[in-house]
Amino acid sequence: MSKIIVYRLFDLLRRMLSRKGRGGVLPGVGEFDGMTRFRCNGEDRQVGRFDERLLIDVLREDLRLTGTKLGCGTGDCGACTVLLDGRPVNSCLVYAVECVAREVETVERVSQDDAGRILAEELVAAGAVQCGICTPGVLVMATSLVRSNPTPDRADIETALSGNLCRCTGYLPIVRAVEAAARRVADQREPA
Amino acid sequence: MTLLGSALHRSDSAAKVDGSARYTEDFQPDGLLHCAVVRSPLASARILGVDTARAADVPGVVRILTAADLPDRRWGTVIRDQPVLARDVVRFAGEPIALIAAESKAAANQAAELVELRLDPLPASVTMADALREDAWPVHEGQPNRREAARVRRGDVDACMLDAPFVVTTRIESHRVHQGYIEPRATLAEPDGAGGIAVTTASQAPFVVRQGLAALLDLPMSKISVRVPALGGGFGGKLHLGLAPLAAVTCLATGRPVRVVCSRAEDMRAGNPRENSIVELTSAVDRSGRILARRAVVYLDSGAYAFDTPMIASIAALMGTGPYRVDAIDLTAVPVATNTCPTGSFRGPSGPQMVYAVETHMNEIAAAAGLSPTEIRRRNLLRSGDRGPSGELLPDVTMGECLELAARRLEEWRRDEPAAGRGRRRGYGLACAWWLTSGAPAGATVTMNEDGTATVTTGGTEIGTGAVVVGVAALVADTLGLPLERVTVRSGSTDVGPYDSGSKGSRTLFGVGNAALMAAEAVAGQLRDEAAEQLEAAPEDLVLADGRVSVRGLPQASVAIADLVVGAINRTGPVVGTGRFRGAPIPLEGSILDGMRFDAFNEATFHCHAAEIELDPETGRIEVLRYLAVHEIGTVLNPDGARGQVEGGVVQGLGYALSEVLDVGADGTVRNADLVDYRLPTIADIPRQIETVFVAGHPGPSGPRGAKGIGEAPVIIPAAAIGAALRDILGDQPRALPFDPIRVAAFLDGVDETRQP
Ligand code: FES
Ligand code: FES
Repeated sequence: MSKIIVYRLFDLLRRMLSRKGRGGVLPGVGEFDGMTRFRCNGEDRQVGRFDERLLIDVLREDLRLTGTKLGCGTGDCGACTVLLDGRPVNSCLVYAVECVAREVETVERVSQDDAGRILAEELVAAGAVQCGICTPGVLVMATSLVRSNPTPDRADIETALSGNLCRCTGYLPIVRAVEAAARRVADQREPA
Repeated sequence: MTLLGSALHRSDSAAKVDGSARYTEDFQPDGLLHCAVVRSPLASARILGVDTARAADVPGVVRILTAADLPDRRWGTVIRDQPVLARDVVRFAGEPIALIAAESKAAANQAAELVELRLDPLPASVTMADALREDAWPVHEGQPNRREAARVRRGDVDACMLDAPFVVTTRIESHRVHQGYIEPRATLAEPDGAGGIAVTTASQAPFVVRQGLAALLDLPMSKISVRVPALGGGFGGKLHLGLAPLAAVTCLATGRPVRVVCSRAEDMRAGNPRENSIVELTSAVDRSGRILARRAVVYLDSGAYAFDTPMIASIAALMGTGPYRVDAIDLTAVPVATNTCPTGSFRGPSGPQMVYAVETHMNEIAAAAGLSPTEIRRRNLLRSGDRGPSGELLPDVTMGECLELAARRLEEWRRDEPAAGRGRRRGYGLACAWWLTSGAPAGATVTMNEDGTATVTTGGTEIGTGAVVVGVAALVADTLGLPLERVTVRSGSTDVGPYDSGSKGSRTLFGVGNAALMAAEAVAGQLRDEAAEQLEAAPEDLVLADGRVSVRGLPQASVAIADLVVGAINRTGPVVGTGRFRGAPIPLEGSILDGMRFDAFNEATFHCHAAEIELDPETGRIEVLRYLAVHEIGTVLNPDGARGQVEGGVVQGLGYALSEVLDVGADGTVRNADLVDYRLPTIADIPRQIETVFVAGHPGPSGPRGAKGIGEAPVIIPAAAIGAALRDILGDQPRALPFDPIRVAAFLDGVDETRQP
């Protein structure tokens, strides 16, 4: 019980610090049996009882989903971005226990989806991948943008991606890639 | 030559996008031990004791190391003065004192908190001003804080100063900045099963790591392998041993795989940032604006250990003239030891502050001589056939071409200037620079496989620029007449390919490319010999194209390369070539060099940047609207890759100019060791437009197919271009970097309002 309170406090604190959406609501205490179970990339996963670790560590260490990268651990670089119930979060700011009974999607899955696959192609084509350490986070964030806003302008792209640091490319190729991908996604959505 | 110079596919991108590319931290061998490093909270102290008893009791802790567990050996780039773990004294806040290895990260971190450091604070020299005082606290006992200078002299500077119509002096202070690679430094060391160790590390120079480990640990190099998997940026910050000694020692002590990873905060506190510096320039100038003599005195904050600074001091001295011809020179750069984190290489070491200082100085000379900034440069530029400061002959100088291109664009911008935002003011400025292409050594092999594909091996690292994975591959493909996708480069490991000196000095494509080209030419020769046999033609009549070798003018007389490879294996032996490269020594003439560890630009490159900015005088905020980068880098082999280097470098240079400062407090601790208060540029901070122009028609004579380097130059110029644009608005420009809103607002307060238009 006391752990839950601690988690809630941590969650609150970290959310206040995070630029992204909140980690999410804890499930009702009644349905919480201490096991950390969630859906990840379409599969049910169970990682540990009263698992105190962060989502990023559980993803990378237990589930071996190392596409999610650790750049800072403080919510400031976006390299660890994943989707939680379809919304982007920094997985270095989310406790695994907060994901109980929820759906996590990582770059390994997002890059295979329709919009994600198009974004992946456009990022490659635009030369937006140099060292590539920021790229999975950029891809997840940009996919979430294009899914929710089919016609993002440059200001929308800047707002959405301002929490994703890239030290290599200078960002212009990322802008070009997102613009191109959004056009393609929108074209696909047009009824024939 | 249809492949080179065209849009080239980058083969490693797809795996980086979908998360399947593996970086150092992504390897997770069974039985892995995690580590935490205990670091000094104080900038200067005597170590009275390190009590690890409580830490050792934490469940999961396997091993704790202090200096007592290590041989008393030092390491360093030029001067070996740095211990792996502090012994007896600590000299900077963040210096490693102990290492905990445990079954989990959590256990290691918990134990680290319980290590009791008994430190007796000592006086400290935190700033260069402190360190250079007569009665300064010596960072190293018995040694002056003012270290051995690098100096270049020619002609009679004093006489020129006495006689000259004008003498102009400029003093610039520059700040400390962090490389800001997004992948923190990390190393994994594992027993290799044969009595040696296998190190996987985020490094720009695996051979440097291997050599350093062998020297520190008394192991034969053949027992150490170092590999660099995908590398998440480095920018000079990963050129050194880094965490490898800690991981390797713990691995040897425990017989288990050990990983050491820096947290972001540790990286910011104890990485090796770009040095803060003071640059003083004095020039004698004649009435026509020609510079007759230049004196430069540069102080570079080396931090607590020598590290790269002796090397960087040489570069700083060479940069003292800028790309201008000055016949009488006295250029000195002095490393200064302080009780701060050792500073080190950062893309274009010493470049940004030297270019800013020289270009500000040029603008002041222009003002004194009553000339425009462009005209003063025209009158002083280096020209083909001139000698550089160290006496290096410069056969093909394109600085003038770059300048005229940028100056024209700046005038166009000025003419089509749209109205500035309310209360804001527009400014236009340009800056010139030259930079080097290091001729550091490289090796490569090319092997033809039986299916007609080629495998290139090299110890060179793919740091993210594409120089290896695209550039080297394309050079080999072009030489062998193969499509790019049939050439694979395996790189970044001491075991996979021959020696390489590392991703530095704008030399990866230049050096590794030259070695790979030599190997590919050997392979092409072997293929021709085999084809000559099969086609009954003279080898010199054969051409390699489209995966086949054919007789010139007789395309039907041809044979597939795959068949030639199989034929050769059965007849004369496998088709394999090796290549080795080292830039030829540069003859120097007419200058006196002292303490110069680096003395030539080798294949010099020339650059001019232009910026359109908008200043908000209320807030001091500067917005960069349009940006032009003109570069002459010899023949451009991989245009997309080269443009990527320019755009990325410009934005890094703008970060240096506008927002990044590593803030070292009076107590010597870093006060903004995170990515909130250390402000890297975000996607919302970049110019609307960055235009890149490569000046064609000047192949570098010793470059692979005429290529010279481009990795570093783009980052060294933006501060100078923005400074010039500020001067365009205000009639004056700051003498201290960076131009963040607070400093700009303070500068605006000081600018004489009457001088403003
Ligand atoms: S690692 Fe999570 S935001 Fe940087
Ligand atoms: S590609 Fe290196 S950080 Fe973005």
